Amino acid sequence: MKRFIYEIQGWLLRKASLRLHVPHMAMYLDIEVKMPDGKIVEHRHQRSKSFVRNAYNLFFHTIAGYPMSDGTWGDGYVNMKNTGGSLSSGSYRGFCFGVDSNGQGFLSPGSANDFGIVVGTGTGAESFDSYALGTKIAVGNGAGQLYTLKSEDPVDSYASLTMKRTLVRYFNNNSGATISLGEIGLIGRVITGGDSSMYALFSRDLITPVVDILDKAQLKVTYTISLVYPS
Amino acid sequence: MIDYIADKIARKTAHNLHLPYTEAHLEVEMTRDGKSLLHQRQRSKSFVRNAYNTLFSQAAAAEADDTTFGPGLINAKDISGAIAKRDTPISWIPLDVSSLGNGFRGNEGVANHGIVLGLGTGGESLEDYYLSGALIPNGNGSGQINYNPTEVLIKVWSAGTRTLSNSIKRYFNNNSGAQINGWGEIILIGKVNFAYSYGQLTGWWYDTYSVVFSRDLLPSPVNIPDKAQIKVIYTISLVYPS
Repeated sequence: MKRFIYEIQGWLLRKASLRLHVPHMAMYLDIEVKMPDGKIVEHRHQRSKSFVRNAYNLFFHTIAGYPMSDGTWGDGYVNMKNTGGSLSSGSYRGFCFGVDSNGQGFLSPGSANDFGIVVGTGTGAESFDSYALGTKIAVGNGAGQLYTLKSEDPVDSYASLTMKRTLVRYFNNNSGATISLGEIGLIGRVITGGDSSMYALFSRDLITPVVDILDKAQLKVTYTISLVYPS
Repeated sequence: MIDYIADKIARKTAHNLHLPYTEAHLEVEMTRDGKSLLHQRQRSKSFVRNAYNTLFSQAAAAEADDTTFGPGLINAKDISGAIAKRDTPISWIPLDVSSLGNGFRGNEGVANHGIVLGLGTGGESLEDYYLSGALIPNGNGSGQINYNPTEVLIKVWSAGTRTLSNSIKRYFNNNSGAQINGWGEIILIGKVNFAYSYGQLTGWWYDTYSVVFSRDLLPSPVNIPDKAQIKVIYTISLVYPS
């Protein structure tokens, strides 16, 4: 029922945004757990309501042309916090993504979980001020670890005035036991200026109830980011 | 009235869905000898494709490298009509948007950057990349207007509506000695760039482009009397979730 209400609200927001000729952005999250025999044991499709302050601040910087260099974190300030919790103003009072080949933006190399789609076992409530996952699942094949593949190449599409980018990442459970998925984050590698970059959380979704990633199962996580253009 | 309701719906639903809701307002005031000749504030419904593409390329970390301009394609079209593209997203950096000459802050006497005035009356279009008619050029001669430097950016946080806004303000003086007839349109030109990142190396292409983010038609053309001063303010805002 709640999902239906969200979709109605999403439809109203799209209509209102088109009427006002303002950008309408949305994000969806898909979670799929598949066993080696191909059987899908879990599949969820949900609206992601979890852009965090970093994302909003980058949107504001981008569309309003305001610098991201405030020295305080919180309401009314424009800046970015890295996944270590440190505030960065950027050498050029702004941030942006670099080229979208693997290793940049939201596209992580394999066997790494610094950025891109990152999964965790944390179950802390979603917060607009989140800057990191609660408990990241370590990379590997040992106990409590997930073999983390590189991000898939992004897929762009356009239909019904809507530009979409789909981001996918796979994780294999070779640990010998079930791992509970409690949270998913979308972390970007962004350019801060000079020859430096940082990792910044853009979205954190709490997975309720948790998803069991059974031993030998493969987890597929998909984020779809869209922007509706006016006609 | 319909826009008012649409705004209420958009605010409420964006808040409930934790999605960004962006809007822009345009304020125009014309005075002479301290007397207000014109003062209007309107919702700007005129973000053009460049603005949408810039936002999408940053929000989705998508490269702006398409060679043609149009639906489903990501790049920018500069004020000359040339396609601005790179295999990186469109960005402001390395230029500091708070400095005069960067971002939306056109410098004194500069009529191809920041808030710019024109004589055209062509209908607003998502595909606009420049004025629809003649530019009102900078200067103090016949048919010219003096472009002041863009004021310092004004950031305001409204706790009640959880709205963060940035106002871009510029003054224009008619020192031409005669009335300028038919001011009909306003554009907002930003100077954008393309940053890159290969491996651990980051940097940028030094090929700044001037691109229109918004083009607004005035409700009806306005004549600017000699010695009149015009103030134009674009306020762009984003509603934050709680």
